[in-house]
Amino acid sequence: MQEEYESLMTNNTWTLVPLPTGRKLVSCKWVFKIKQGPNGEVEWYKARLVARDFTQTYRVDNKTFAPVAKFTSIRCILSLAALEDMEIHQMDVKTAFLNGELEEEIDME
Amino acid sequence: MCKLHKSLYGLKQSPRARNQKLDAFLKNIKFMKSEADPNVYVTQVKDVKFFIVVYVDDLILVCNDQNKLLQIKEELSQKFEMKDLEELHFFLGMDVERNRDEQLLRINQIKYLKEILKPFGMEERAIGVPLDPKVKLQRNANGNDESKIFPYQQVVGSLMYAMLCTRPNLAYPMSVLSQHMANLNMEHYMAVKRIFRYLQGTLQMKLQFGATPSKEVFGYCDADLGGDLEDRRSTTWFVFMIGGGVISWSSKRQPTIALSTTKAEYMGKTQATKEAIWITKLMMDLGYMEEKKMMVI
Repeated sequence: MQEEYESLMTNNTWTLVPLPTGRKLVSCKWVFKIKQGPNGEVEWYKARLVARDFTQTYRVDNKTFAPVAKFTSIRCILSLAALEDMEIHQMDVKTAFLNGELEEEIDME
Repeated sequence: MCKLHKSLYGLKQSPRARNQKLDAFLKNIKFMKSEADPNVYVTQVKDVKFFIVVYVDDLILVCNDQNKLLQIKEELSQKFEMKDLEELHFFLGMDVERNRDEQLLRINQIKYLKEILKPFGMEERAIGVPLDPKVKLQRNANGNDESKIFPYQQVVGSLMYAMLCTRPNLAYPMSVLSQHMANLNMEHYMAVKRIFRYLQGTLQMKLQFGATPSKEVFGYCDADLGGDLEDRRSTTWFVFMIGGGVISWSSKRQPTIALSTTKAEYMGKTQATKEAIWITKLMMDLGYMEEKKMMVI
């Protein structure tokens, strides 16, 4: 939990402000998970602060569309890489959703 | 209370916010976004080619220069908190293996398929053809109880994912099965069982790329006439290949009724050509095709 909290803090995820009048708030909560290894032993404890989006008011201008790649393009690139003997590496973003900057103003808690 | 600047898990806008940040960063370090697929980024300086495919929080980086690859990885790590998984082995449920001496790359979903088959404990012998040619599934079947408890929809959904990722051989059976999601009877149940037995026999099969050293794209398409006995609509299928590796496939019932084989073939050709245009565009974005030319047979 400490790690996640620090990540939130170093990312400047939020600033404290007084409540502007007439605005709805989004609540949030901590979610805890025990991650298990292949033999069922405890590997690490995971903590995540999640926003409870069902408390968000639906607005037409909420832009929520995010694209994902087509399987065909993945296969296409893999086959070209095989033919040209290119390096294929993989990376993943650790805290995937913490990194985006928001377009709209959202107030929480 | 807090005013949010960055997105959090659970916000409706979160996936979009992340995608846009990554997009801005990649453009900043001179990557071009592909027009054909907005999740493919390309950069090319002289002979050094670099592709990045983005799938939510997973990135596939493809480059023909080791140093450039390390440099971009470094830049990404500085900007985002990234986990470097080194060479690609596992992606979206697909296992990736390479034989670089022979320039081969194979993808498979053996683990995923085993997971699907496991609850149904397949002891029966394997079978070579996924659908029984003698059986035509009925659309308005009144099933008995046994076929009702079978989780048909879930199973078809799971198989569908396998078909989309690595199994062009399931394209036609899946298009048939997915036309029957309600009103099931024993025949539907037996059809799924048969696909399980077929998968049992073909479990170890993998999709291979790079078999022939040519970067030309080839497409094949065909259609039947009135293959659907209930509404007489025709079915079209096509497949596209690069260098002996199958990259795109589809099998679909046509939306309108064709009156002749010629017409059915024309409509099939249209579907295949649309796909061909898209692949050409992608290949041009990746810097492999100078002009629009592709063969569809």
